[in-house]
Amino acid sequence: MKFIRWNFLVPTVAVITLITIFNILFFDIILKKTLISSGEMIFGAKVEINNLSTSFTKVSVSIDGLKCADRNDYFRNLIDIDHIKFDAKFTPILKKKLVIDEMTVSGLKWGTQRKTSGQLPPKKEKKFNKKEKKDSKISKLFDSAKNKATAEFNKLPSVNAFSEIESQIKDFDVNKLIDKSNLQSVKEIENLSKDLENKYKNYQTTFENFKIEEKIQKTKVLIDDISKTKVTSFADISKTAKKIEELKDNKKELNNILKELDKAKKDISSNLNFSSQIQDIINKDVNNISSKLAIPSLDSRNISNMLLGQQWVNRVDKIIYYMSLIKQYMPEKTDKVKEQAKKREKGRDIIFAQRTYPTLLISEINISGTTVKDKQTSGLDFSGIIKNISSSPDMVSQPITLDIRGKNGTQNLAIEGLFDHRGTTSDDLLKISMAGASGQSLNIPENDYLPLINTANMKLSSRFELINGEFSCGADILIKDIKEKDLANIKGNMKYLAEITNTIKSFNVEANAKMDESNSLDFNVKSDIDKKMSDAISKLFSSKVNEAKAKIKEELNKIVKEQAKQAEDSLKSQKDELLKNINSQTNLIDDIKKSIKY
Amino acid sequence: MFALKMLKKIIVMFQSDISPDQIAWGFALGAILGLVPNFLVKIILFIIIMLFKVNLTSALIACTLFSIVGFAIDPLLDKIGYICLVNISALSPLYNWLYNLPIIPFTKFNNTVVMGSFILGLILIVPNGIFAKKALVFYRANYRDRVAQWKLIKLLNTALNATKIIKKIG
Repeated sequence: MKFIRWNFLVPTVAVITLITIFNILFFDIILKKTLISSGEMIFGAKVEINNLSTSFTKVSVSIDGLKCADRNDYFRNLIDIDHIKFDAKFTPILKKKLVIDEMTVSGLKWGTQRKTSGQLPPKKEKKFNKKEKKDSKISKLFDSAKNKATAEFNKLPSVNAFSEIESQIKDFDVNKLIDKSNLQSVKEIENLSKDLENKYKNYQTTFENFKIEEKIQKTKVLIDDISKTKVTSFADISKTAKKIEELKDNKKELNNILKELDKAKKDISSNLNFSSQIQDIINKDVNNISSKLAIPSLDSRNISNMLLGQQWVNRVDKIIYYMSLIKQYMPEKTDKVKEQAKKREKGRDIIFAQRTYPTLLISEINISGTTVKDKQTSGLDFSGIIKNISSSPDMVSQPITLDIRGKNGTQNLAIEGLFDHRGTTSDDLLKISMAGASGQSLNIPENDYLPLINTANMKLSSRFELINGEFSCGADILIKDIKEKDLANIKGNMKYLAEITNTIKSFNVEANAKMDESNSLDFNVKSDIDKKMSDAISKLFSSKVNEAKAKIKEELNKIVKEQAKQAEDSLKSQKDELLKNINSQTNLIDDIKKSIKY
Repeated sequence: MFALKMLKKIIVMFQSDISPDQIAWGFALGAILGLVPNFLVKIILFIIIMLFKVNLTSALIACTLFSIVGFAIDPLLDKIGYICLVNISALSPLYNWLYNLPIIPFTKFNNTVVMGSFILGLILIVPNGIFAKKALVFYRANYRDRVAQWKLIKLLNTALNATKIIKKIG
């Protein structure tokens, strides 16, 4: 072995051994830290890994307890995976490429609670924001669109409408609603009283104008004259005949007066009953006052937009964020060709049959996990396959496909995805359908104005599409089997609202969003909950309004009767006096009529 | 200083009694090192040269010399490489196998110039070795003593000794 240069071999072997030992001891720690920091830069929130172990002989990596916090809710995990295992191909690693034939992801959960905040420390947050600014054109575009939509939803007047309803119910008081000075019926009594008074006065004046006593006296004189007349000559006959004619005229006049008196008597002697006379006006007053209890009008899209609009925006925000992440890390092919520098005559590369690999290739990921557990549902076990994840889709010549399914009794879940970034264009499609899921997954916070959505069953069918930067999505949601609120536990005026919401057992929601690269946004949420709420409000209000109307009518009748009685009392003496006068005048005329024999 | 040291090492190689075999092997391996343009192959050859007791100076001289030669004969190397890689179809399965092995593809053996230069280097290993050995033996027999008397050699020795003393004092 004298031809071996030991003084080179020994130190070299020593150095290589030290490097190997260092890698065996510390490689896992270094890789774990690298993965955590890369993940944090991708998701913008804390990433935690319980344990990471690698094997150099199998070139395998095993990760336990991977938790990635949700940037939109720091006390929730976006992804929580119990175990990930994969074997990588050795050769591509030497070319800085990661090629995995099969990866196993088990115990995948999402939306799990965190005990600590998942917010990044300020330094990392700053770094992430800087990176995010540079990245993802679509995300940026969506941000402005999202802000616009959020502002629009917040401007909707539904909240005011609900508050109006609430205050109406709260402040309902019949006496407060009746303003005596504005009551038409009371005014009408006053008018009727005045009219009657004038009428009596008019009759009185008319009777005075009749000069009945004068006429009776004149008639008496005529009768007396005629009875004393002795016809002695032809001139006496003509004189007497003239007096008889005059007497006849007087009689006629007295008859007419008698008729007038009789008519007046009939007119006056009818009972004074103002309240029955103004019943129609009372009814009008009742209607006028009731109109103040009118149900506030609700814009048909108000409720659904208010309740579900923001949720829809947030949901779309999340999906578009992940789609843009995929687009960012799996770019479409660019037409740019790298210029190759030639230092020396390069020769020709003879290509032999060999598979070339992209920087990252995961041929297949077997996923299994559980959906979020809540009070109502026990979580749904699901499993599925993701295929062809690659940093250069053109090299793989297959799009990413995603197929995840889960079934547990009536509950089922299906997620299908196709992310095709081959060529110079991209076409991403994600379909999510759920049935028998809890309404809780809609994340609509419970409030007094809503039915108990969290207790309901939900059926969802949604579709998200991102084609060359143009995003569109749609979702059909059916919320059914909504449980009723326990009215016994609700106090005060909120009981009315609970009565309204209890009438809704199910409702549909149809949500759409569309956005193109020109940043024009179209967010749309439609639901029959609007109509159902409106109907329920109307129904409840109409019974309340009817109750109130009856109370108002009763109260008004009482007021009107009092007013009428006062007026009637003050007019009664006038009436009696007038009738007495008519009767005496009638008697006088009757007496004198009996004396006239002609 | 480096130039002086190198010059001294070259003179020592010629003037001393270092084994001509070591020098011949160094020269032959150094020639391949100089010819092959691929970095990974160079590293492997360097490790081989360092691992065995071959003369490093002769290897360095051959490497420098054949690097220049390599630039000049690239078209020839390309042709040799092409013949080896493409025309000898019997070797294709071997190349395919090598191509799919780990690390080996990094040697860029499938490049015509790399393959050509490596083949030429291998072909030249024996002629280079024989040539180096014979030339050295001939030199030592006929010229070594005469060259040792040259004033330039003496001056160089003095200069190098003086530098050493200055370094020690400084």
